[in-house]
Amino acid sequence: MKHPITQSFKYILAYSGMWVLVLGVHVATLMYLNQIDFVSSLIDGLVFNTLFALIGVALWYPVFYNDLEKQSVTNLIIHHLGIMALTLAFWFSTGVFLTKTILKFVQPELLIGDFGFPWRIYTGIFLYFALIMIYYLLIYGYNLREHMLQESQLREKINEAELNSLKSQINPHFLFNSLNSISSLTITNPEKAHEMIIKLSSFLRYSLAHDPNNLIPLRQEIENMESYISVEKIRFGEKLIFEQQIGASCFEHKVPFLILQPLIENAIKHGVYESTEPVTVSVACEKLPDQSLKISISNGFDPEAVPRKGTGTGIKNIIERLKIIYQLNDLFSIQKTDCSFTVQLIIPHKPVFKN
Amino acid sequence: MRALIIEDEAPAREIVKTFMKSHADIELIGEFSDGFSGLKAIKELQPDLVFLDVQMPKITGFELLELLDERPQIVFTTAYDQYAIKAFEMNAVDYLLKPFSKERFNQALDKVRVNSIATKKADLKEDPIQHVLDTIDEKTENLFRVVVKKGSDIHMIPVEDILYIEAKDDYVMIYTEKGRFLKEKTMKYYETHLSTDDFVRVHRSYIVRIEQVKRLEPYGKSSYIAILGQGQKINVSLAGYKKLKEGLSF
Repeated sequence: MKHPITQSFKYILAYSGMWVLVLGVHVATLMYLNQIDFVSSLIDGLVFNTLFALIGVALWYPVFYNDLEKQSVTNLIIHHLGIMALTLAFWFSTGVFLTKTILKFVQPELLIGDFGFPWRIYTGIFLYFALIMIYYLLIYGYNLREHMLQESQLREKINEAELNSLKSQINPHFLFNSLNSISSLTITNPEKAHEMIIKLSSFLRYSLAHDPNNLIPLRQEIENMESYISVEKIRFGEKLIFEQQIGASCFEHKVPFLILQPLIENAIKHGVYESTEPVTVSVACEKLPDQSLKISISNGFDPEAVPRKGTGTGIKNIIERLKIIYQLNDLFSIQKTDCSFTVQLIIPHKPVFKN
Repeated sequence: MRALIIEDEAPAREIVKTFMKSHADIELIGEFSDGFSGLKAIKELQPDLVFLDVQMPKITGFELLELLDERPQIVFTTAYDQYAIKAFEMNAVDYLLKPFSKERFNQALDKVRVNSIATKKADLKEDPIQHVLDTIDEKTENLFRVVVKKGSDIHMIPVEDILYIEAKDDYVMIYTEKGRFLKEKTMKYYETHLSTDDFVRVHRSYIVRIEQVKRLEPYGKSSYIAILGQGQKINVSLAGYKKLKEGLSF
């Protein structure tokens, strides 16, 4: 921490202003309470207060190096009493010497004696404590600000780390089953194999290349989702029916990276994987009046199948990510009927946490 | 040899068919895309060999096998490598990890041929590999449903519906609100594959859903009787009583 007074001209001015005020009180006291003439009072006030003002600048150091948190209270008190005694002795003797010298030079007949010794000591003690109090308060405020800054930086780092850990991972089973389909198609239908490799590659490139903490236009998410769907369509053929209904105004809305595909994957897993009949997976996006984006993903399912319980990490991760990025809790909802399952996301216009 | 393919993805069926063509002794007699129709086909067609996927609609490949009284030779085809141990527990001949090469496929068929001669002599229950597998402390995932046969009907019992399980010689009787079902499995199996948060093995012959236990009454010197939600009474050993106490935290 820099010296609070000398670090800028503005602070020096404020400090001086404070002392002018003290000077005023000093002069007034001498004139009205002690019946001393104006010139003497002014000289006395100027000498003693300028001196203390200068000493006061230096008093920062004993305060700064006597940290309240690192010292015991007794130690601190002894320390400051010692420094105060030295300060006052120096201040008083130098002050008296200078006043006498100057008065002798200006108005020798007005030479006043060492009046008001106790008064000066009280004033000195008061000024000393007032000053170190101000210094300690400044340090306290500074530390508090610093602490808050550090905390918010830490919070941000934690958020970032959490987002990293929550990013969705490519499902190895999807990958290996797709590779198996490709290996089959290379023999039976090379053209289709080619098409599937292209789709799978663009899906993999998208999933691996992006920074997971970025926000990207919905358009890109939809393109990636389409690559993913076309790979699954080759695996499941007629069993997977895909529908989408996306409002024209939605495409440029910024959404968290890879938020759509894991939900589609979930819908396919619980709908298509478990059913023998064709299952429809549908995606709908629309802009709400408050400029946020509503995304609904739904799938039909076989009501007779006893559902395989997923680990739920896919959906949980998405809920957590939305919470961190938008600092809102109710962006995710699920509706389940007898034969359909719908997940609904609200993506606000602007994120709170941004990398 | 007459073979079936049970597999839900068309391209995956296609590759098995293609590889099979170069083996004149293997004849494809059907292909099915879900567990139920596969099960029916095995019963009706009595194949010698089945290429079986694990993850399928309706019932999984493993559940399908549990429902068969007589098992043909099984070659599992799956992308899930964590099922290998379970596949061998089911006495599968081989386990093909997708995608697999033609060489690997041919190897599997070689094993099938050797095995078809061997199994005619040997009793599967004395399989030495079984003993090894029994002692492996595998990380088991909890069951979420049990598939049982009652007459010609197949019932899928969600684990949530199970009230308690009773040992019956080589079988277990699974009690639900909709009735009871006999299943060829061991108590040990259910003890390890049911969530310990919900179920406790209270006796050599009983596993019970903790929340079903309404009352415990002392019975004899060091055992108890548990009275369940619908008035059923089951024996509780001292060890079972202690476990139950932990589960109920009283």
